Amino acid sequence: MHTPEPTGIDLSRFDADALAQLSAGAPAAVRAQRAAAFELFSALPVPAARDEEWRHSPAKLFPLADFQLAASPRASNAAQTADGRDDFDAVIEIGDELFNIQNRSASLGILPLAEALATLPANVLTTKRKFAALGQAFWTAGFFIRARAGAPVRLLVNWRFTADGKLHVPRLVVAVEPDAQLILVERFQGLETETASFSKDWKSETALAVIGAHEFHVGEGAKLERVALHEWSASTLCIAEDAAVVAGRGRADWVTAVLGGRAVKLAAGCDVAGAGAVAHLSGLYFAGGTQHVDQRTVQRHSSPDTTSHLLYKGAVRDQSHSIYQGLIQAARGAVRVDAYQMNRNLVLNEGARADSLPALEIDADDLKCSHGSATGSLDPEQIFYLRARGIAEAEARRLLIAAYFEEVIGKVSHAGVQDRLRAAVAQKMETLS
Amino acid sequence: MSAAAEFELRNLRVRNGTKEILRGVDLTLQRGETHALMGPNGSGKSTLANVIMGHPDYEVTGGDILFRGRSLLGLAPEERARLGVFLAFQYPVAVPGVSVARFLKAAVEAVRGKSTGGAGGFLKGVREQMKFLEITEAFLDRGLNEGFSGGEKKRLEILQMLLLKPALGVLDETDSGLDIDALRIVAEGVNRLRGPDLTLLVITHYERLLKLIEPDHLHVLMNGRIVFSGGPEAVKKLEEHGYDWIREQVGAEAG
Repeated sequence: MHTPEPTGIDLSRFDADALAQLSAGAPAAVRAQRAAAFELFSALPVPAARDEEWRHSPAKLFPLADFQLAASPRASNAAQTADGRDDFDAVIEIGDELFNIQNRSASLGILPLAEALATLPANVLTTKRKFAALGQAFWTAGFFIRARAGAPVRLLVNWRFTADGKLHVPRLVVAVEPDAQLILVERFQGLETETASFSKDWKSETALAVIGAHEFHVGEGAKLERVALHEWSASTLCIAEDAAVVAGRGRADWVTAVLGGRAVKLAAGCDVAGAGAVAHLSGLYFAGGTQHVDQRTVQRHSSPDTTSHLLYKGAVRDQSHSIYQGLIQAARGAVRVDAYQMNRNLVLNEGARADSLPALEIDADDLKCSHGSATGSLDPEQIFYLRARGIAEAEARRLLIAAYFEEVIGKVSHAGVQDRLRAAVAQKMETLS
Repeated sequence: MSAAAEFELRNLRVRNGTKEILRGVDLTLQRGETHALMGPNGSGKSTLANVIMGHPDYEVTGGDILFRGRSLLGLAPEERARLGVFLAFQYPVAVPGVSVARFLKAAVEAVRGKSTGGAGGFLKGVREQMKFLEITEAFLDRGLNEGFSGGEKKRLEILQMLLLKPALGVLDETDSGLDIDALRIVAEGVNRLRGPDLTLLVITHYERLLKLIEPDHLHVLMNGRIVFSGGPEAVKKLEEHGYDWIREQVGAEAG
């Protein structure tokens, strides 16, 4: 039997008309930026199942053509509502129609992207990624964040969209200037208009689609900690392609937690681009029901004397499916590189599935590069030990799953965010027997 | 007839996979007694310990395990623990990510069936016992058995026993891998709990532990059966002559 050539996701909605609508009334610099990105986007092929990266995420999971592109939210002075906002020096809240910025820090600049384009760093990343280019052209809610040298600044960005058939394109461009320190926590939430579950029942009118494209420029000697909490509701489809470039002696700590979403496809690329640059990429994901969580990471060493360490830990239950693909790239001449990548997966029942696909592309020698992957179930001897101390089996399992994720949760510096992650993991385990 | 024994094994037969490991074990412990169980490697000692606790890998094919006249066979490990059965593991497993403090609190609450209240009051009692066992307080924040030495793990087992105050304690080669000092501390810990309310089954390879925890009775397990039972004086005889004289007594049957 002949297998038809797999087709990519339908992106026909993202055409010149849609771009013109978004650009209407915008300043010339905005229109120029969108137009340039659109050209790039149009030139890139639509990824499909023939591409290794999309092999496990068939196009039918992402029926984006069924969604209407959302309008850009307007500025508002409404009082903020985000939980734990007092722990932060600045908070951006973004909803369907309004956004609100509250900034108490003198060393942090926050501007809507449209206003900031004139002052953007000249090196907006040129991308080869279709969805990153889509985000650069079609962003519906964009912000430019600039951290200046000084004491660490804490910023919370709260994205909350209603599941009402719209497609949102959030975008952050973050510049952490030389010797600046920024802790950025992003929460991504979907608000259901009706009760949804991580099951097969689904229709686009009561669902949410999101395509994200963030970029992070970490300057010389600067530090960025970025925590992304994907707490999407059960109807949400999310594709995000984020990129970071870390200059000499700079450091990026990047923690991605995926707990919600019907289908989530994330790519996180981090280039340690100057001598002494360090990146720590950490991931936590926990899928249940029929959730599909597909993640790709790229640790790129474009400079010698650079370090990147990665730890992604996931768990799958029910009929959910997770995919992790990791790539370490060392450019020619990137000597004295220290690169490490580890992916671990817990499969909690038969029927759940976790795929782990690590890869290396090394053009240099004189480097330390290792990767590993381990997929298994909970250790029966650990369960027995806890039960022998009176702890019921279900509770023992919950305790061990929570313990398994502690290693990643410990990478987050903010205690309130750590607790939020623990609570989210606990919630995922609630119905676990 | 007196009341039921505190703990009794009746013609217990146990299989692991296709291999029969215990081939009809009879053992009776009266309340407050300490019994030693010795035997060469592979005689089934650790299997016995694990079966008493309800390890899912072992299948009881015959006989019974009775605690205060009640069969434990249908009970889950956690139910046995809550009845007052305690196993000090030969190889306590590491559980990274669960701190010792959190684990101890969860275990004590599970066994007692009620909250221990705030962490402060609970930990005060724990610290006192830790001091006695010469365990540094820093252990409370470490992952359970994570990176612990053999001696540290064994001391933590005894700490748990002191906190859980079981009615029946089964010590599975708690002395293995311990130096003389650690052995003394562990034995003192066990002796601290001894009394009319604690019945003990001390499984060991070596006589040296039995000089510190003196048993009322001694049994020798060989090839899945109890082949010798005697009083404390047998400890010395075993020390001097090894198992050969028992092998001779029981003949070829014990292999």
